[in-house]
Amino acid sequence: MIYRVEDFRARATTRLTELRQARSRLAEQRRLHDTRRAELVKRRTDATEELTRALLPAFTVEALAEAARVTGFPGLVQSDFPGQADTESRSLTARIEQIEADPRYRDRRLLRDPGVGTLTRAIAELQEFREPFAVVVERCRHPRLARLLEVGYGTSRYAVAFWRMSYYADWKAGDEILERFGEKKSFAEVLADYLEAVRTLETYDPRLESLRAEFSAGVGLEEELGASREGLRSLEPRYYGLARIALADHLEALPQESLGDVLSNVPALEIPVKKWLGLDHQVRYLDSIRDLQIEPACEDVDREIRKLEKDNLKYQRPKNAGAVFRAEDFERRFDPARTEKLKKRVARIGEAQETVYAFERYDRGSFVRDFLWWDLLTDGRIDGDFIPEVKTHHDAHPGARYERSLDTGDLSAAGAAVSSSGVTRDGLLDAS
Amino acid sequence: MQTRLSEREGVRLLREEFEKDGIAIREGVPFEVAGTILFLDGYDPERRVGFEFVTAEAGDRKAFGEGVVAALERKMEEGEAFLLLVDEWDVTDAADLALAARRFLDELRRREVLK
Repeated sequence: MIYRVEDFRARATTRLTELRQARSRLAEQRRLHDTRRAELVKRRTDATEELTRALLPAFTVEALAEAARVTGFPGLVQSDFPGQADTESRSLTARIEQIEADPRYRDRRLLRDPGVGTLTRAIAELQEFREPFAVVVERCRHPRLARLLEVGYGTSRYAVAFWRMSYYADWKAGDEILERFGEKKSFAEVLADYLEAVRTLETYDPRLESLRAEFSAGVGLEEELGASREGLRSLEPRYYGLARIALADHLEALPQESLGDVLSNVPALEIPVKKWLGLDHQVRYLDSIRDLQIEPACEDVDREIRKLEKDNLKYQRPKNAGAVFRAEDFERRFDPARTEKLKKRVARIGEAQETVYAFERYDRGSFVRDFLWWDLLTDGRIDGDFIPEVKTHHDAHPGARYERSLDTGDLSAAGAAVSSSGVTRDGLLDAS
Repeated sequence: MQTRLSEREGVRLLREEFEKDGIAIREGVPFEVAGTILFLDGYDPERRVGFEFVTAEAGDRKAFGEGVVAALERKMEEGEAFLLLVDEWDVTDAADLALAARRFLDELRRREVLK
């Protein structure tokens, strides 16, 4: 049996529709990834905040020492955050006193009051004086002005012969400038005004610039004073925040099992720490699903769409109207099983993404070595071997099977645990 | 950015303006200056009036070197001939060039070179 171009085009159209639908679902998964990741990151930040506040409830030497002891983090004391805050406080206080005594700040009203300040008025007066001269200079602005001044146009010095084109170009430029001064009769009159205006501005402008610089320096001091006072006011919260950041960095760098050890002294923090750890894993797993599943699937679908569109175009050409296709190739290319496989692949990605995102039973986490959060998050029902961390764990424990711990009052969890207890890893959904 | 007039456009425009004023322009007229023969873009040998549009495109810059132009200007100062010398770089547009040509001819009339 053979297939013809009409068959190809009909099947290609159907397949393209299916591929585009799959592509659209993948795009939605991408979008979902971004919004959900942002939400989880926010929750993780809040959890970090909650945890570090619980470990370090106050910015005191005693509280820092206790947090350092509990977390096994001597750096928290060695960094001497209170000492740093004290040093900055002394420096800011000294600078504030210095600025407050500076006449440029002390006399700020006298100098820079918007209505009667001496500097304000001096600047305004100079601006007023220079304005008419600036207008003359501005009105004379012309691309040929520099040349006219150079050759002495409008003066007895002008010696360009009348048979040169430049003579007429100078004449025209001079006329154009003259036209802007209705009351003037000749360019020579304009030139006299222009030169006087330039000389006057050369006198006024440096003075004006100096006054403006003096004004700006005073404004700068006022701003610096405001910033210094704000720095002083926010000193303790800032250093308290820095200490908590250092603490969070330390906790993040600790191996999971060490975290359990250091927190054994403070059982009340067990749940906040597990929540923090769980959220961290959720974010990382979501990223893995996007990078290792959604993106490759998008690429595969895009590649097939491009190829089909190209071939579709090719077989629309009259010279290919009589082309025929071998049944074996044709049926392999348009095998309905391929469509089903793609649908399942997209659905599995969605399921993994949804499961990881929706997890909230952080209390079931553990600090024991080799505890795999993926299995907890997915209840051991989704194959995560596409993630290197999960695969390494499974390779290291080939016979292990995830067994969900039951807690009282969670009947639905108990049901789920029973149903999953007989599932071997071989029978797991293939999420890749 | 404005494009400069080409040699051909400039010469045609100058020729039109001169002819409107009754000047019998001929192109490529030989003209001797300091032992060098120049071929002028436009010249009326009877009235001794014409023009030269100096462009790089026509290779004029070599022929109209500093020495030749100085000698040419001496001839004009002595009243032997009157040529409007146009450097392409001094022309912003066609209207400027036409205006310059008319003003040049007016000047010659004021000096009674032309009647």
